[in-house]
Amino acid sequence: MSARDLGSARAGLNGWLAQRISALYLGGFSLFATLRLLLDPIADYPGWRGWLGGGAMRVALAIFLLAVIVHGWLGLRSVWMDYLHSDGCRFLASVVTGLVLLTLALWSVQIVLWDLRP
Amino acid sequence: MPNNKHRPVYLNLFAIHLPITGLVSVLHRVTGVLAMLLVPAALALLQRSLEGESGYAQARALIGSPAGRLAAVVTIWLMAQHFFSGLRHLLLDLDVGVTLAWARRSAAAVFLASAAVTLLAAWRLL
Repeated sequence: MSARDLGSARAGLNGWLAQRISALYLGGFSLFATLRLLLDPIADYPGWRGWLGGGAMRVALAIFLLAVIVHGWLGLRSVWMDYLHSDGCRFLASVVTGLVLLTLALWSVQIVLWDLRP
Repeated sequence: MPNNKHRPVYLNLFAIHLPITGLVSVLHRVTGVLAMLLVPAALALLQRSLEGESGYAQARALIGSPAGRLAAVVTIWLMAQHFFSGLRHLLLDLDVGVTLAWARRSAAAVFLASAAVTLLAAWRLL
């Protein structure tokens, strides 16, 4: 196998960077949402719907759900690469993980675009 | 050594001492995988809570039930452990705390912080 068959070095760097950027967003958003709900608890459905459906919050939630998918994909991929040793197992695990995450992504899109519609 | 390839491999997991830094690292992965397994349940709960007054009431009742509260505390531990160990990894990326002594101290700090958050949640929710 030549070095070229292993993929480009930059692809690895992009993954490494995406894992950290998504981590920062996930951590920041989680901290913000937790503090917001603790300091000013939501009492009823209109309050809940209004908070999540409000323009900026709806976009922030959409980015959060996207970050969950990206971060989950990169994290699960590292785990499969370290603990699954045959190419067949890795391939199968990657395909299954990809399909499940794609479903979760479409589900997230549905929640943001339909359930949170103005 | 004709039989060398077939020598028995025996790893006594109880005899292998995993240092605290290794434990934090392994738990970061374990809690990460568990968190991803919880995503479908979280999305279902979020979607239900947005389906009008009755859906919101159902979601709240589910989280408020004894089993729901227990699940919430376990989830909070999971996420706190992953959050603090992730923060530690980000600091290590920035070359903060990379000496062995500080890596051990920050690993202990991760356990203390996630335990504190979990105890606080258990006290409020259980």
